[in-house]
Amino acid sequence: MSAVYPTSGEQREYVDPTPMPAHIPKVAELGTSSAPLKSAAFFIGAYCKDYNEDFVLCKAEDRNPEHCLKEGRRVTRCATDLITKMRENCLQQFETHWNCLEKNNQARHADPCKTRDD
Amino acid sequence: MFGAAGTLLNISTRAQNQGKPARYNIDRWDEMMMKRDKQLTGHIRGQSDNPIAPSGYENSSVWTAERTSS
Repeated sequence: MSAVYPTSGEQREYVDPTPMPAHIPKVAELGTSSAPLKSAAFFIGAYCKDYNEDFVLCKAEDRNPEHCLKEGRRVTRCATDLITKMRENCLQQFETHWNCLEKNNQARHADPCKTRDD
Repeated sequence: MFGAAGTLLNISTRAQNQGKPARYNIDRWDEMMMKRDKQLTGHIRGQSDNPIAPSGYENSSVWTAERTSS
């Protein structure tokens, strides 16, 4: 997989338009960006612990992306589920917290952001 | 004079960061997350808390490629 070829050094951005193969089940990808994810991180860790551990152990066996697709789908579904529940129940606090994180270099320990949100 | 330069710098950084203070001490994890944010929202400081990604997201990840000189 990794052979080293001499290159011109000039880098360009490339977007690969090839979709996933048809035999792989589709899952809706998580649309949350970094600040809401960081805000919800502990809750994702508690709620999705089993699926996350499965995925990590699977990756430890084999780093090939194809090996852990099923566990990855489960992780994505669990996180999507949790974010949907959080938005239903406490959208206001969630948004306040992650907006506060954005203004403070996404540091959870920054003084204005030390509140408990659930 | 220093005040003017400082104010101009502050306005410039805030404008580049969508009105928020700049990120600092960015490590490889943060770079990766900001790249993902750009893929999701179009700007490295853009945020969104939709549970579902927008429709073009699966095929829009950006790779950096070099031309081989062989």
